[in-house]
Parts: sequence; structure tokens; C-alpha cells
Amino acid sequence: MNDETNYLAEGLQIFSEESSELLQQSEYILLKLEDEPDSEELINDLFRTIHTIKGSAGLFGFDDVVSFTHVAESVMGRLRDKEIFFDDDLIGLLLDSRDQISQLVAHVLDNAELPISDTLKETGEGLLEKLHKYLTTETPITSSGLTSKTVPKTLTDIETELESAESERVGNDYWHISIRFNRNVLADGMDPLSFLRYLNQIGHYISITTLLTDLPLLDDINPEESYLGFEISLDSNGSKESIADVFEFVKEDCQLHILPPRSKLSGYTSLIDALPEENMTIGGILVASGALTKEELLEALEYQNAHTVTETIENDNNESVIIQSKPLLGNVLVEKSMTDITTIDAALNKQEKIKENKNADQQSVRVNAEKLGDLINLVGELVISSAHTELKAKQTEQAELLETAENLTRLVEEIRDVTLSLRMVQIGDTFNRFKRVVRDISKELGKKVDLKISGGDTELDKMVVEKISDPLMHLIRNSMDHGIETPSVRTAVGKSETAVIKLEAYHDSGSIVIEISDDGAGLNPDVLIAKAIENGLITAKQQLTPPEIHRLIFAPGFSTAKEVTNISGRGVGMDVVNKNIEALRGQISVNSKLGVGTGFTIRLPLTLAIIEGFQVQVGNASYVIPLDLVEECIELDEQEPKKGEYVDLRGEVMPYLHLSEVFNDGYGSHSNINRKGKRENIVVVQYAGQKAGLVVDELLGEHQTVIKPLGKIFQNLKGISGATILGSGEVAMIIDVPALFGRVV
Amino acid sequence: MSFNKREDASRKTDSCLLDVGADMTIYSAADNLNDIKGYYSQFNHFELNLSAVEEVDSSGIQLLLSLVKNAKKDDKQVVLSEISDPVIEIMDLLDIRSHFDWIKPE
Repeated sequence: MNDETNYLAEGLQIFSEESSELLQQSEYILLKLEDEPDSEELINDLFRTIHTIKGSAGLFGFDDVVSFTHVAESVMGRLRDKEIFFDDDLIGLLLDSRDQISQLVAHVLDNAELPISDTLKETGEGLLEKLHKYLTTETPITSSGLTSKTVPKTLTDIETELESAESERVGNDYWHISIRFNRNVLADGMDPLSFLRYLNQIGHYISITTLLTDLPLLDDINPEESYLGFEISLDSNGSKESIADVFEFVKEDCQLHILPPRSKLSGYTSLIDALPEENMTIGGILVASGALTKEELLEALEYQNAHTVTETIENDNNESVIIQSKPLLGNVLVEKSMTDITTIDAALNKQEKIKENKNADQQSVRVNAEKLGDLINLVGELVISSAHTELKAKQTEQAELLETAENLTRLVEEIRDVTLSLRMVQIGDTFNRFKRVVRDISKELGKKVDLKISGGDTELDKMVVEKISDPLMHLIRNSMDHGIETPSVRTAVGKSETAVIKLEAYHDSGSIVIEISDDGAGLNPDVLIAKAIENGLITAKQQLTPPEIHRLIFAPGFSTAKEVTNISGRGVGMDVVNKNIEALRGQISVNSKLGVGTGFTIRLPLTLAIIEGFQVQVGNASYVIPLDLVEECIELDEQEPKKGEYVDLRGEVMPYLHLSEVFNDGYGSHSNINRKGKRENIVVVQYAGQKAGLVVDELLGEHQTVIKPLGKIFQNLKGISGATILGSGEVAMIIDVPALFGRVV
Repeated sequence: MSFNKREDASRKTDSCLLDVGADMTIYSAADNLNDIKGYYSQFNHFELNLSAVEEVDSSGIQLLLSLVKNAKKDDKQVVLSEISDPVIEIMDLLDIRSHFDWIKPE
């Protein structure tokens, strides 16, 4: 039982991942379609993504998802067949439908047992009503008894209808489906019954016959093999494609024959021929299930005999040789009404697509994030352990041992880099998600906004990407709500009607920088100051520099919007954004010019797990400074008079501070005496374009640092961002350079 | 054990009442087959009580069908009783009610 639950959970997991990927893709496609509504490729892609979602939802029996998705898919089908065309409403409607599907999927994944909530149901019904309008607009109706009323006709349907107008048709209005599952399907984890259930959803059974001819007796049965075959007569308005798609997952593990309604008699002949059972048995079933009448069956069997082809060929000796053969398979196929050129083309296309998919599969492997996390943790331990080994090797002073230890360290470093890169993902996907947000909000606010994205291929840790998404969303919403003016205001001040929001990502000295800038109204310093005074954040006497004024927006409870809209302006926001970014060991800065625009710059560390560190000693304790931030090391000249804490760095004024004072190191003050005559060093660190010095007792060199988070008690400790374990087993604190910058600069 | 013989003194010696377990899926198909085979050789008349069956897939249905097929050949009797909803659902999906003998609930 346990295996089963696992298996199911695994299947659901795949479904959940796949559907969220597809939903995201469909949103992306829809947004693109807004710019180029005539692109057939995009419409096809859209249809395919939605179709796949429906298909997999059907396999799991998620009826709510299937029934809604089916209608949306039908509308897309009509788009594809050029029966209807895009207008603005339709794109919006399809986007809303996509959201609805997404909600439905989320619902069934969370609590499949509960019925969907009323609000979800209402939205669904509203959308369905609108969708149905696109399904019922006039289309040329063919003069056949077989018209489908609301479901759009795909090509194959129309063909079927045309065919049924011809003569020599059987008088049966239903699809006939013959399926024999291969022995191995059960062992492969698929239950034939689930396909039949799904089939029953896209149409309904007129009759089904379960064939037991292959079923062995108890002594010979292998309980894990599948022996059943089915002959089904199905009433469905779907296309042949859609019926065949039901069996998509087993198509290589079954023999499937689908005959459209009113097929040619020859179709049934070949069916009877192709099936493994005795002809008469099959014939009997076909008659019993109403697919054929007795007369038709007799005719079919006759046809079969008549079509044993007799060919007369004259050989070299002018003797006639009579060759008797059954019709060639290919000929039979062409004769069968089930395979006409379009279906063959479709089949070929599908095969090619599967090939492509296979290639894509080879390029990437899906790995559970947890496993990756475990691996990274282990590599962390490995790094610590190798540092320890190297330390011990150094102590022995054996050249050979040292050499191997160094080799080991180098390899571990490489493993570390490769492992960390495994978790790196491009930020582009996150960026693209904002297109939808920008689209929706600009519609809501009546503003025209163009979102320009660059550097989407910049990679950073998946965890960081996930956590940065919300703050970015907030910034974009803010910018659209507060920053960007309405078109009329924009034209009045001589700006172009359409505003531009730029979203940019790039690497910069060991961190990743994300910039969000707009060409809106900019921050008004007077308003900010007035508001800050009103909120008691500053006093009227305080003189603030422009950057300080701008930073006021990050203060808790600060909102300048005169009206609270549902998009932003509730006063929670920027401070939360700031906190979120700090939690990622990042920083945010703001740069704004009144009337020209506002830009936010977010700096984030590349990874959260392992960094290159620079180890220093202060008193008896070791500290690690992230190496990416270290610029250079210089001596501190004690002779120089202590004017404040500034030093002259090649003509540049650079502030510095004593780490021993910062951390109030008991040994520090004590060792001040010991330190007499000993030179102190300044480590010059650079952050966000500014330099500062940190005075330390001793420089210990590079150290690979596995960041271990500090416990809750230390969470509010300023100046420390984490801890690490040294090769010797000691604990060293990792210095939070950005935080220390706040003290000196 | 997935098939349990109910002790019932009133029964004839060549007859047995088997309680079928909750799981009639591929995961216990091999066990189920073993149980069936074990009882099959000992008795001629079987009543299968299906009230406890919670899950059934095509492997489970196949077993039942194979048992019935076998019994027909050997002139033994298999009847089903207290068929649970999941089993009914499958039987109707496949339209195979007519393959079985039932004891109708009173």
C-alpha cells in the first residue's frame, strides 16, 4: 500500500510540476499573442499546452479541471482553425481562463476531496459563459446529420462529415474503438481502467465489450500482466485526435483502432483483419455492440475475401505467374477512411514532436530540490573537512602529504563550484512573469506601460530567485501606481505617452545586481520630508542629504500615496521589501530625480551556501570577510594622528574601524597592550562603489567558507551575517560588510 | 492474507465463504492469486464476499474473471455477494456484470 501511495504522490508531483510549467508557458504565449495575434505557431503552442494540461488532469480524474479546460481548449481550437480571431477581450478572457485553470489545478492538488469553493465555481461559470459565446458564433454548417452543436469542428470532424456523405458507409453514428493493451501495461504502472474512465469523459459509451479470450486460467495467469481487450462504441463530438490522445500514454503499449462514425465498410474489414481474435468473434461483437448490422458484417467479410489481390505478372519466360496476396498494409491504410493524408501528417508531426521532446529530455534532468540541498550540505561538510585535512597536513610538514592535500583541496573546490552551479537558474522566468502583472495593472490604472527586460539569462541561486520575486513584484507595482503618471499628464510634461519600466540583471563583483527603473514622476523630496515629519520619523530641524531623504521610503509605516489603492499605498511595503532583501544578505538602494524617474538597485549575493572568504584574526577570535568584497590589505600606520578614524589611501580619504571595538572583544582591549609594536592591518573592503577599512590584528588568508546560519538569539546581531567552521574545528564569525558600512560611511 | 475463509459450521464441506480484502490492485495481485489458488483446489463452491473491497484495478478484475472462467471449465461454482461500490463501478464501466453470478442482497 505504501508503494502505491508513493507512486501516486510521485505522479501527482510530476503533474503539479508539469502543469505549473505549462500554465506559465501559456501565459507567456498569450502575452506574446497580444503583440502578434496572427502567429499560427503561437496559437498552436497555446493549444498544445492547454491540451496537455487537460490530458494529464484527465488521467488523474480531476473532473473539474478537465471540464473547464475542455471549453477553453475548444475556443483555442477554433482560433487555430481560423474560425474565430483574436480581439482584445478574448486575450483577456483566455488569460482569465488560464488563471482559473491554475486555481483549479491548485485546488485539486491541495485537497482533491473537497468540492471547489463557491467563488471559484462562480468565476468558472462566468468565464464559461463568455467562452461559450466564442463557440457559438456562426460557422458554415455542413449538411450532415452529424453536426456537433457547441463543440467546434476540427478538421477531422469536418472530414468525417464529408466522408459520411459518401456512399458505402455503415449506418452507425458512433465511434468504434478497439483496444488491446499489451501484457506489460500493468507492470509499467498504468491501469487500463483509468484510460477507459477518461474516455468515458470525452464522450459516452454506447456499449463496451470486455474481451476475455486472452485471459488464462488460474494456473497460467500472471497476475501482474494485462489480458483484457475492449471493443467500445462511443458517442463523442471530439475529433479523432482527441480520442487517440486519451491513449497517448500507452500508445506504444497497446493496439488501438479508432473508426470514426459512418466509416467505410472497408475500415471495419481491416479492423476485423487486424485484431488478434477470430474474425467471427470480432464480427459477432461488432454486431452485438451495434457497430455493424448483420448485413454489413457479411458484406465486410465478403469484401475481405474479394480483396485478396490477384495479380498477373509476366515473367521473363513469358509465363504468367499469378500472385495472390492480401492487400498491402499501406494500401489498406489509405483505403481505411481512418487514415487520410491529414491524419498521416498529424501523426508524423507528432512523432517529430516526441523526438524533439526526447532531445529536450536529454538536455536536462529533473531532480528533487531536496536532493540537491542534501548534496550542497554534504559538499559544505566536505569543504570543511578538506580544510581540516590541509591544516593537519601543513602541521606535519611532509612535502608529499602536503601536495596530495593541496590536490584534494583543489578538487573539492571544483566540486563545490559545480555543485553550486547546479542550483543556479536564470532569472528570466521570474522577470517574464512580471509582464502579466504590468499588463493587468496598466489596464486597471489606465496607464500605458512598456516593460523592458534585459539580462534575463543572468544566473543566481534558485532559493534567491524564489525569494526575490515578491519584493520585485512590490517594487514594480509601486512604480506603476505611484511613479508613473497617467498618459495625459505625461504628454503635458512632454514625455511619451507610454512609460517604460526597465528590469535589468547583471553580475558585479560577486554579487548580482537587479535594477528596476521607471521614467515616471520621481520621488518628491519635499513630500517625503513633510510626510516623515508628520509620522515623527524625523524632526523639522534635521538636515538630510538627498540619498537619506530617498531612503525614508523604506521606513516602516511610510506611505506617500494620497489615496490608498488596492495596488499599493497601504504603508506596508517598502519596509517589508527592504527586510526581505536584507534577509537574503542583500541591499537595496534608491535613486530618484524629480520628474525624470526612479530607480531601485538591489544587490544580492550569488549564493546562500558557500562563499570564498578572507580569514582574519582579531584578538583570539577568527573572522571571515567575504573575499569578493575585499579590495586590498594595507598596513595601518600608528604614527599617523588619529583624526577621527580616517586614513589617507593614496590621496583618497577612507574611513576605517577597529573590528575589536565593533565586537567589543574583551581580548581586544587587553591585547591592545600586547599589540604595541606589532603592526595592525587594514583590510580595504568595497561595497556598492564605496570603500572602507577594517582594522584587524592578523591576516590569515583565503578560506572556503561554508555559511552556517546563526540561531534565533543572534538574529538581531548587527555586523555578523553568519558563522562558519574552520579547518581546526573553531567557529569563526562571518562579517556582514554592508551592515558595517552603515557605521562608517 | 487478502482472501480469508470465514469459519462457518453450517456450510457443506466442499463449500467456502471467502472475505476478500480491501486491496484488489496490482500491488497485492500476486498474493491474491496465491490465496485463490490455495482455496480453489480445496473446494467446489465459493462465495466471495466483496463488501470490504476498497480499491480494485484491472488486475483485480482479471483475477475474478479468470476464477470464474476456471470454475466454468471445472464445473465449480463461484458466486459474489455484498459487492462494494468500487467493484460495482468497475463492473459497470466494463459492462461485465453478466459474467458473474451474484447473490442479491435480500
